Amino acid sequence: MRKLCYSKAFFIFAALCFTASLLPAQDLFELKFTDKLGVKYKGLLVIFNDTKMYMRIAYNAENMYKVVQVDYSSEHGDTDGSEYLALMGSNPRFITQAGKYGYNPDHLIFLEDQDLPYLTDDPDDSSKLLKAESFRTLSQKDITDAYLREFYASEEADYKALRKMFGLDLSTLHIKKTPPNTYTGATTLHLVIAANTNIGDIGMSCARDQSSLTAEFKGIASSLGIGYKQYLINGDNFTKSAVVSSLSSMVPGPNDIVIFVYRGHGFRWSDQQSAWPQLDMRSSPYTRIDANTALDLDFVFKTIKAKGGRLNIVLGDCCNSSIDITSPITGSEFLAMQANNNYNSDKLRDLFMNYKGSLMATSASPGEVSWANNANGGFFTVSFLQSLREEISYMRDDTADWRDLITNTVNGAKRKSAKGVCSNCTTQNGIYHYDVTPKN
Amino acid sequence: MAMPKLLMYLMSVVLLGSKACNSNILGDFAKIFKSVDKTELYVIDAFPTPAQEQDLSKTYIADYKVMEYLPISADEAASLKLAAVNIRNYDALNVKSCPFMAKYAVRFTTAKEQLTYIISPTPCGKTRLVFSANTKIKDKSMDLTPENGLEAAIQKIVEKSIVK
Repeated sequence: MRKLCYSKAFFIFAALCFTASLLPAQDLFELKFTDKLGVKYKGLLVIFNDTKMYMRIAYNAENMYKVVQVDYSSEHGDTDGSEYLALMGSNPRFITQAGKYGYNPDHLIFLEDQDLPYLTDDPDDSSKLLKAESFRTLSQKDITDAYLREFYASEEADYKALRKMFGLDLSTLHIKKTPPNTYTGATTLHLVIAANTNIGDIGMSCARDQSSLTAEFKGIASSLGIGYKQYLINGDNFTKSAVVSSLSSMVPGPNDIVIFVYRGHGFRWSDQQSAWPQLDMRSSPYTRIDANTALDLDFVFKTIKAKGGRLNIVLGDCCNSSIDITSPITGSEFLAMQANNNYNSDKLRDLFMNYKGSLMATSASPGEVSWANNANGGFFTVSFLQSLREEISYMRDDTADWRDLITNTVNGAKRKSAKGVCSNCTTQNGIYHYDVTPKN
Repeated sequence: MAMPKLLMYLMSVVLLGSKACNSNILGDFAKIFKSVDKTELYVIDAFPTPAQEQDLSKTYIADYKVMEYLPISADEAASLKLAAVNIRNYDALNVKSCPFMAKYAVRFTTAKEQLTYIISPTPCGKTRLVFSANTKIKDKSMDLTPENGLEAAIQKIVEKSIVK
C-alpha cells in the first residue's frame, strides 16, 4: 500500500500544512537545525490553517539571544513521481533586537520518503540546502510557560492565547458555571454520516473523514453536556434506503441539533436545473445509477428541516459534475475535542446552543468536481473541521458565527484545490444556503 | 505563492539522490509494456454487468459490455502504450469524488498476460487497471490528471473513426 511509503515527517507535515482534521486548529511544531557556520536554531511553528502559519525562530548570534518571526504558506504537489510539501517563508521580522544582520526566511521542503525536512534560505544556491536535525509535534506536556517564553514576550497576544490553549492560564481553569441557554429542556446532537467507505477510489478518505467527524462531534456533545445520537450509513449498508430510513427514524426535539454529512461520489443529471448535487448511494460499480441509487442533497435538507430541530446543518462533500444520464422520472421529489483545553468552551457553547435555523452547503458548484485524498480526507470536510476549530479557538477575538464557519469552509476547500496548492486539481467552489440566526 | 524554479530544482536534486518509493506509481506491472503484442481499443458501457447477467451473444471486457471496436494503426497503438506508462497522466495523491462512468477500454496483450485500462473520461477522469488472472496482480484505480495524454490519444482515434 502506498501509504506505507510515506515518512513520519511527511505525514506530520501533511497534517499540519493541509489539514487540522486530526489536530486542533492551532498546532505547534518544533524544528531544530544548524547552519553551515554552526549556529543552532530552534523554531516554533504555529499553524492556524493552511494559509496562516508562522515560525518563531530562536538563536544566538552577535552575542545576543534573537527571535525572528517568519510567515509561511504551504505548497503541495508531486514532481518526478514523488510527492513534496513545501513551506515557503516570507516577511521575516525580529521580535527581539535585530542586531547588525538580518534574517533570510527559510523554506522547508518535506519529501515523502525522507524522515526530516530540508531547509534553504537561498533558492539560488544549492550548497545552502540543509537537513533539519529534528521535527516534531508538540504535545501539551511539552508546552510550559518557560518554553513559550523562549519565543514570545510576556505581553504578546499569541503568548497569552497559547497559555490559555494549553491550560497554563489559571483563570481558565476555574470551574465555570454553565451559561444558561435560551431554550429549555434537554438538547441532543444528532449526527448522520453517510460515507462510502467501501468504494475503491475514495473509500479510504471517506473512512478517515467519518472517523474525524464522529470523534469531533461526540467530543462537542460531551463538552456541552448534551445528548448525542449517531447514525452511520457506510460499508455494505451504504444505500439510499438506509439514509431514508435513518432520517425517518430520527425524531429531533425543538432544541436539538441535527448535522448531516455526506462523503461519497456526487453528480448531477445532464438535464438537472437545481444547483445541489445528487448523492451517489452505490457502493459497488456493478450497480447502475438510477432513481433507486441517487439521492438529492436538497431532499435531505428539506427532510431534516421539516423535522423541526433548532439547528440543522447539511453538508455534501462530493462532486457536482454532470454525467451523461438524464434525471429519472419519479413520482416523488425526491474535535475530536480530545478532552483538551485547546478550544474556548464559551465560543463552542455559543455556536451550538445559541443559534437556530438551517444551513446546507456542498463542496462544488454545478459542473465542478470535488477533491479528496487518502492521507487527509475530503478537502471540504477537512476544511469544515479546520474552520470549526478556528471558530472556537482562543486565538480568535470575534464571536463564534456559523456564517464565518461556512464561508471559511468553502474558501478553505477552494484554496486546497487551487493550482498553486494542488497541481493536478481543478478549483472547487462550494455553495451554501444560509438561514441561521442568533437565538434572540 | 508559486514555488521558485530553483527551489524545484533543489527538490529534484534531493529526490534524485533518494529512492522515492513511488518512483513508478504504476507498480511492477509496467514491465508488461515491454512485450505487448497487441493493443485494442473499445467503446464500452458505462457500468459493468455481473457475470451471471451477461448476454452470451455480446462481448464483454472486464465485465463491461463492448459497444464498439475501434481499429487502430501501429502508430496509434504505440501512442496508447506510451500514454499508458507515462506517470504524469496519473494523480497519485488526489481523487475526485465523482462516479466512475466508463467509456473506453484499452487492452494490452502479451504472450503471457493481459492488462486492460477501463477509462472514465473527463470531467470524472479516472482509470481502472484490470489484470488477467494469471498475473496475480490486484486491480487498481487511479485518477487521471486534467488534460492527460491517455484520453488525448484515445480522442484522436475516436475523432478519426467518426470522420471515416
